[in-house]
Amino acid sequence: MHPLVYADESQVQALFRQVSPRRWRFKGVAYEWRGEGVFHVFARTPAVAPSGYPLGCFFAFPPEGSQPEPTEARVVQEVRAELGSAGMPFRQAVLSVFHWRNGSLAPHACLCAPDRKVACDLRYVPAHSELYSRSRGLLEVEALERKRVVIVGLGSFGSQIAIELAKAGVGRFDLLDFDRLELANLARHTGRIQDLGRFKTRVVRDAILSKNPFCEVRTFEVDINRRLPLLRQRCAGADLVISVTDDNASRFNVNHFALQTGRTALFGRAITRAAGGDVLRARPGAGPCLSCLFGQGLLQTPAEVSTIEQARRDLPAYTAPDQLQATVQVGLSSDILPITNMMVKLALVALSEGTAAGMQSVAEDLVADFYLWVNRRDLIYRAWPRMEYFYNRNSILRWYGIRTQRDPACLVCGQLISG
Amino acid sequence: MDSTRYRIEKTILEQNFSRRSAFVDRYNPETFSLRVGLKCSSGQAYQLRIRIPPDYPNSIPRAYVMTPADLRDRAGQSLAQRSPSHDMHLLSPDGNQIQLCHYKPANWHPNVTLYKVALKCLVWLEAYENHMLTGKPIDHFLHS
Ligand SMILES: [Zn+2]
Repeated sequence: MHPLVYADESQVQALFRQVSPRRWRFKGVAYEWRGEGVFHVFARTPAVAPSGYPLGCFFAFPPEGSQPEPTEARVVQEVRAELGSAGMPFRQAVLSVFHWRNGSLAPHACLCAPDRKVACDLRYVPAHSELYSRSRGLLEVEALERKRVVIVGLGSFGSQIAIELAKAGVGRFDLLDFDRLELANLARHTGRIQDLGRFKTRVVRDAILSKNPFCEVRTFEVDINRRLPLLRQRCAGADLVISVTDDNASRFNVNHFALQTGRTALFGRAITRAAGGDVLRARPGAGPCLSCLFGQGLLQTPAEVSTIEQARRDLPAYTAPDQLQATVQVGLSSDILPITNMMVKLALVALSEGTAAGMQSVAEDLVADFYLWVNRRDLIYRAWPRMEYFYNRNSILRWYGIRTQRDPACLVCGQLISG
Repeated sequence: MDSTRYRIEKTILEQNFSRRSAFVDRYNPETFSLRVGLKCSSGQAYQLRIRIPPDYPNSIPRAYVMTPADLRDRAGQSLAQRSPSHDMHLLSPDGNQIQLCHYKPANWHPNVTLYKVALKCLVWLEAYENHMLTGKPIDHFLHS
């Protein structure tokens, strides 16, 4: 197999529009997966830091009517002359040549070193309209592309949800979180070791753009509990609000502003020791809000405490350090994924509402606003029967839709809906 | 606190505490608080200051005893100096004003009103007076 060169089709088209009889050769940037024969070439440094090691890169659009072979030999000569010079500190370069023939651009690429030239296969990373064509039919991609999702909290939950929504074709994101990626997060977060120390919002933004570079992602590195006007503004501009923080005050703040701006909000969490989890869809005026359920005791199962900072916030200030440490009992990433997956489904149902998309049957199933996930026979589920071969009784690894209602006396949604 | 919630809180407080409660510095997010006078069954009166955070009722208010200042335990030790204390259900004090633990942060939710917070503080004060009589820690009386 020839080495592979991937080029962004829309960038190539943009370069082609700049071609003139005097200017038909351009410098770009290329990255190599060493030892794998894979190269990615760009007309300019991409928005997301690319992977691989850098090397030289040229694009050439020989003038119409020029003979392909002698022209290319000349360009290769020029590239070789530049290798190792002050402006080109590389020992090799990827050269992508595009001949205008029969009304279209015929591309081919080669790897140039001073002593050799290796032919490569050039493949396009398609332009916008084709990138997510595969989910067409299942989801109304054009409609989803225009939807904006606000995600508050970009930890192990938020990072998974954001990336899944981008993969499904959601086009616009506002990401809010002031935390940075730490070593302790790595096992459950989508962030990588090379992201340590970065804001989680930026890590997730890059992960979204790596899946779909045409997404519009805005990041806000703020403590929303101290930036309430900003939170309100973001909710007002959203089609859906997702709250996956680990502190109740921020969840209640999101609940408040989502209600106030008439936006559906999703809340999700794991409970202690990953015994299970719950998901609430709060639809203003149509169902219970977070405060309704909390007041009814439905959300008072102790939440999973994944960091010592969270334990400090949740427990009274007099709690002894060893007791704080003992409450930090985290599940695995695989314990979280079922919960984030359910939230993604509820998000797609909410975002596809009113379109003739394939979410219709899922929407008919997901009529409940509150869901319990039972993960392990532990704590409150300790006495549950084993799953074994039974399908007609309660068991772990299942979702349960819970019939809930607005609390008519709820001070939060009562006043916001009536006012 | 938005104006609707403010009216609700004010109405409930007026119904139950008549003239013994008043909001202070409503438009200053740093100092906005509720002053409330509470009387125990013994007849002893206490003056409390409940600090209302800017995102109240979404986050928990903090309750301090203003007077009598510098409350002492049965052994005569300053409660402010003993804080934070699990036995006495006290959080970090503000100077010599002790801070009462009225709700566990994880159990707080926005349908709890300042009136309920004040009632929880009254329960703490009754427990405090029992501690002064018996010497048993406040936790003994509040633990259900
Ligand atoms: Zn409600």
